[in-house]
Amino acid sequence: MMISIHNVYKTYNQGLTNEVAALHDINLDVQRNEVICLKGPSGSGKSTLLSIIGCVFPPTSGAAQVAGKKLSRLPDRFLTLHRREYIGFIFQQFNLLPQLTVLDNVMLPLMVLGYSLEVRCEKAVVLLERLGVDHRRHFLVSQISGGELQRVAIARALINDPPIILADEPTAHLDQKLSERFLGFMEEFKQEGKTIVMTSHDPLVVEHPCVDRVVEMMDGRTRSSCS
Amino acid sequence: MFLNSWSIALTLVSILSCFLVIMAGKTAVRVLRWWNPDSDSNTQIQLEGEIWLSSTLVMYGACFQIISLVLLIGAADYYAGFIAGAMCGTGSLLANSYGMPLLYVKLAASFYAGLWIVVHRLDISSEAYPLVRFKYVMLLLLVPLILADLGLQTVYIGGLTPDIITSCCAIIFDEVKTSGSFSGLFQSPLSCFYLASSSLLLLGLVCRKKGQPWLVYLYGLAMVGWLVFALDAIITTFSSFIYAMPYHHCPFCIVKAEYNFIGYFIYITLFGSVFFGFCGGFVQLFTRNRYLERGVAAAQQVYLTWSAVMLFLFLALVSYHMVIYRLFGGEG
Amino acid sequence: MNTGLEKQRNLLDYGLMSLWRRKTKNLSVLLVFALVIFLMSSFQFLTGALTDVAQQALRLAPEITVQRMVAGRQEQIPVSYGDTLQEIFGIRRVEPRVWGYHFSTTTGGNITLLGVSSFDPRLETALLQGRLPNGSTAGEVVLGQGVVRDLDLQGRRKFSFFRPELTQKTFTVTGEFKPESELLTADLMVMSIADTRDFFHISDTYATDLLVTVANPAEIETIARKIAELLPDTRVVTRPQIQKTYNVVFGWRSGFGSVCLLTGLAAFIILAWDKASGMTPEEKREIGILKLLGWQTSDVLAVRFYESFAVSFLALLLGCTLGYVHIAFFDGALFRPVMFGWSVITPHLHLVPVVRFGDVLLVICFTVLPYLAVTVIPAWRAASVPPDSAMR
Repeated sequence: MMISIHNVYKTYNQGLTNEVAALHDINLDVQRNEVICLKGPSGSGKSTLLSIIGCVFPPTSGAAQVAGKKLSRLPDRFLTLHRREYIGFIFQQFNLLPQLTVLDNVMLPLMVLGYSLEVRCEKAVVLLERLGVDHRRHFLVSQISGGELQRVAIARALINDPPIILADEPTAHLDQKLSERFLGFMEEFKQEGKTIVMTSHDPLVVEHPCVDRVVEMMDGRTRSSCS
Repeated sequence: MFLNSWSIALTLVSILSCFLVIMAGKTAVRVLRWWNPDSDSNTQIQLEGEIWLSSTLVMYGACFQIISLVLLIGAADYYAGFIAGAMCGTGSLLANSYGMPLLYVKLAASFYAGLWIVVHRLDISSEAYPLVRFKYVMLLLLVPLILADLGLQTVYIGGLTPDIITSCCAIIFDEVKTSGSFSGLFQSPLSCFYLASSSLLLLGLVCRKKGQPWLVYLYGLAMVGWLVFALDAIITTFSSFIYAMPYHHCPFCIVKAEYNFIGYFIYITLFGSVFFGFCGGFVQLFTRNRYLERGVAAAQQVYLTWSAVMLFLFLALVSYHMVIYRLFGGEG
Repeated sequence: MNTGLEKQRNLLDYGLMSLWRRKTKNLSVLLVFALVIFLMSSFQFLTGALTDVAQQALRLAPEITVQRMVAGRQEQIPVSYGDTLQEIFGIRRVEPRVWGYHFSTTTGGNITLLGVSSFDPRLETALLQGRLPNGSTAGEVVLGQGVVRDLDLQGRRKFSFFRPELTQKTFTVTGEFKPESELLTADLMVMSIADTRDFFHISDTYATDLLVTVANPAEIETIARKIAELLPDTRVVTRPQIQKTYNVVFGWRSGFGSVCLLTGLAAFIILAWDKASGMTPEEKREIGILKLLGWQTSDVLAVRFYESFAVSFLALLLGCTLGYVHIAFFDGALFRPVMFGWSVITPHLHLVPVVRFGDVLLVICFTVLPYLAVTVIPAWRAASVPPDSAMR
């Protein structure tokens, strides 16, 4: 089992007057090489669950295991170490650093892994070539188009070859053509053995053939169904 | 004698050290009071973040303490130019009863801060952070040590009186304090020193390979004892060869520019090898903690390696002038 | 080990890139920092250079000077005291010296007239031109550069001074002291002892003080103590004591200057704290993204440390270089009044600063260490930005 979430709760600001219970008794198992889509309205807890799976923070209670690592009450240091090795993030707004070039953005995750500049460049160029944006490598991120931004974001997510890819509303700011292209990439990664978890309420994503299962969320609770 | 650059610098650096360690001490108090690893409250999350702050503050504090030590040596040398009868830094430190205790406290504070960093690194090597309470109690004990350093330093500098021309009817003249008034504690030939040092080096390498617990403890303790032996050997024997003067035994003058600052390298390798050797034995205490078994083994490898390397370098540096003299006779 | 070093190199790289990206803010901090370091280093280099000059000049000073004290003030000493001193083993020679001050109406300062019975041959090395008085010709003098400027002889070799009773004494210039010795000779006129006795009306049986030369310089202090015991109504001043006094004075003045500059340092530290603490939303977002990509708090702390270190290092280089130039090429013009005392006839000195490890260490302790200390907490605050902040 690649991702195992059992009886997980997440409460923000625990014990304070502005306490918020974001997740209630979440149960979710994701097999290796499975593609899951978390569907639900804004505030349903999708991003919180994605953050727990992505080792951004641990659950308040319950058992969460990602790529063989138990996350419950794991200090931030170890969450980060696990995240950098096993998780690749693709964000809704791409979250690239506008003042850096395309190449520098893609190489960022490798800087803290101790790779030399030559090795980092080599790995980054291979990915950029595969995704068809190598010709923009020395451009600032603020100088490239939306579709190119998407591909650069994917390249950065894949640079450390993570077995798990997490995508948070990946098609929210894309037109249909770019959304389809994105889902095409996801299909390729699935065939390469990657496990993918996406959050979306875009029907294009939810109903795509590469999605094995859709998990509906509402008010911090889940209700899974097959696609 | 506060109104000169060295005294002001010493005071400023000590105040900075105090500031850093006291700020770290604030975290220690909060952690000891509120730490609950099973909790997901904002307080616990904040405390986990403050662990980084306290460790950074102590690291800076340790570095500042070491710089303060170097400053003290420079300042003592500077004060020798004003103090009646003081021929070098040793004389300055002996000018009143606070000088040598100040040196020892500075050394102790540097060592202790370094030891805290060792415990901290061991603690964060395990996901359970099993040494949190222990290390923050240790941190609280560092605070009075740093404050004692500042206090002693203030009293020492305040107690120094420069020898300048006055309008009284006779010269002011103090008892001459020679720079070389140390005598060997160990009445043993130099061969014993080399035998002991080689044995330690061998023991360190064996510990690194085989890692028997009692051997590692033995090595750690032996290094501390060997420190005294090595300092005695520097004072009674090796320093004379560095100065090329048989009756000059001062342990401070070897750091001067005229001797190519070799004293700094000798003391860095000496204290470094003792520190790492002691740490290798110290961390062995935690090996029974199931969360730290791997961390202890990994740390010991590093510390014992550094200890052996620095011990070897120390022996080479300290023997260099003597070997040159024996081979070529006189200043090489 | 390689990956560890490579990672630190990468973080340093990122830190430098980050500095460059925010060059306006960082450049302003750098320049102000360099200015503070320039002021501190100027003091250090000036003190060092003056101490060196003093050490050089004091090589010519007498080993022991004996002065008679009456009611706590210096009085003329009987020349016969010198005969008493000859009993002390180790004294090679005792000779009387007569000196006093002549008020110069031109500058409003005092010129020192110094007369000795025999001239130390080493004094020849201090001469810029000419020769020492030969003792047999009356009125021959050697002038210090300050006196040369004051008298403005314009090529004339003879000049006269009025005594208090308005009689005149004529002097003939036979030589001038070198500018390098101005610390001791700026306001000095050296002549034979007979000429000073004549000018000041001091009898042959008295002198202003006695100069004692010893056979072994290592015994100066011992012999000085014996003189003090033998002649309890005298004050005995040794050359090492004069050196120490100069060192203390320069050290005191330098320390005083440093204390005054500490206020400037404090202002800079507040500025540094302010700049380090202020994080723009873009910076917060950047750190949140880095954390999401697998950067730890310690990695971001390391980047911030490298940024602070780089700014400090560059400021140190720039500030110390400017400080050196200030002393070497402008003779420390900014701080001369602080270091050179109250004399009206001030020496014109050409100072050669020497960059010593101790001086650089002091400058670092005054400037770089406080800067690093004050940026720790803001750096930690920045590094503590939670990763999920970039997801919101």
